[in-house]
Amino acid sequence: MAQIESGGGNGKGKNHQKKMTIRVDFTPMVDMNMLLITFFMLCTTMIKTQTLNIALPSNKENLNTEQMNQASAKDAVTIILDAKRLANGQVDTTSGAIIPEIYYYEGKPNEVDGQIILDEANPENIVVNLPAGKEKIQKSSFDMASKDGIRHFIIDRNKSVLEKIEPLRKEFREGKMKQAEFDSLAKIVRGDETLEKPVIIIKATDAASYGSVVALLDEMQINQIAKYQIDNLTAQDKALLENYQSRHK
Amino acid sequence: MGRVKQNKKSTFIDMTAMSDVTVLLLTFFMLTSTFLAKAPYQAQTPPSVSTEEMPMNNVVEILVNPQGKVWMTMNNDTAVSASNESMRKELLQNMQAEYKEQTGKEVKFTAEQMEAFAKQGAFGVPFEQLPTFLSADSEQQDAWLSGKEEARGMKSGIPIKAQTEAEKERIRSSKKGYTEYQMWINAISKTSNDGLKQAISKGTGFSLKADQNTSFEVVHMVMDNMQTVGKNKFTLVTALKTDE
Repeated sequence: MAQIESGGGNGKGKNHQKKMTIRVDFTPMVDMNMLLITFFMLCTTMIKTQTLNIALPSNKENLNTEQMNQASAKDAVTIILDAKRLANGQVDTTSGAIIPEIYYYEGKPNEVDGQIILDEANPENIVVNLPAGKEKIQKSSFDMASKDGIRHFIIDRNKSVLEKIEPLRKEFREGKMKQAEFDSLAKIVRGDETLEKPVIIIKATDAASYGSVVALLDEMQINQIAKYQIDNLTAQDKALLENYQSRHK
Repeated sequence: MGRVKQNKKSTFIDMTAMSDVTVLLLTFFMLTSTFLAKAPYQAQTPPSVSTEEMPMNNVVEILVNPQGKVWMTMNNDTAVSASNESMRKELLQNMQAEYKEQTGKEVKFTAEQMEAFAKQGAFGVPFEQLPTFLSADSEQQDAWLSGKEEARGMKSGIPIKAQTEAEKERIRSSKKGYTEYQMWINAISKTSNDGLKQAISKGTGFSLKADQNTSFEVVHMVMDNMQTVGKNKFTLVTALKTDE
């Protein structure tokens, strides 16, 4: 391949030429190419970054969220993210990363079974009076396979929507439907006003990791939650959380 | 004693095929590559199932590190009339005006400093230090941006909250008391590049990039800053997670 043979016939001809082979050695060329490939391989990003769209509520009118909370006390689910703490309340960073912890409660923050549990006379120090044997906040986990996991809970709350979406998803998985078609049909189901669906409010303490917030936003997408938003932790939430954590060390 | 007749074998290996392959590979890598931008901080973005790809242009990337330092990178659509360099120059002028309006202080830039800003990738130093930063050579700029020169007063990161008592007072007293970060956001929103403007109103104009181990306190502060200037819609940069 890399040689040119200039044969001089069979020696019959008059001008008897010596059989000559020109060979080009490609080894240095390959060496150089390999170096260049290495350079490009190391300098490129193969991982295409993705983005997640979020829309925050406007903080100018807190009216909006209040309305939302009131209108749907029945549907409201508040999920609070926190970090694993040591006995003294400090964030546990012994493993080098923040270990997420997840809590949730349903309905209004200040009542259990119609009974008011928060004494808000002093807004700086809200007192929690839980009825005996009752809990307001539940602790969950990011273990998605487990029954105590947050996914299990979300799926359970969003049953009516997921039941309608499941046959569509099956068709999509079998290849009978395109992604765009599935998305638009799923969107119609999510927007169906007759279905009972939760409104999820995501809150995070200062110590919670950003990664866990994104993971939770992800769960909303996976489980086809129609309405969710990120909101600020209120004094009530803080009181409830501290109360729970002080009792479950 | 007859000598053992040895076959004279050439050790020449034909490298042509090998060369062909390497050239092909090289071409592939050259064409598909996008270079890693020099960033003051390498963030490991959180995984997500979202498949929406990050746009290449008409986006402002806001990089946040766990200590709450913020840097920005503006990428304009170079295909249209708005060239990246002219847009950055315009951004600097907008910011200059915005800063003067808010704080009453004027920060002056020479023509060379303007030029340097137009070529700058990631930026993020307090505005009053920006002229000195732009006059520095690139090696020093890198050290400055990554915060290695903090001890010598070269502050890194765009301030997202009031730094001094006087500034705190300014933000509290005035109705439109903005932090420096918010001034930048305002200046960016005034761009004359329609593509970027549309992206901002659609919610893809600002991308927040933070490490997954950043505490929410820091991210929340940046989000709060965005909310105050009415930029409620933006995107979070994530890495693709394969569906379980």
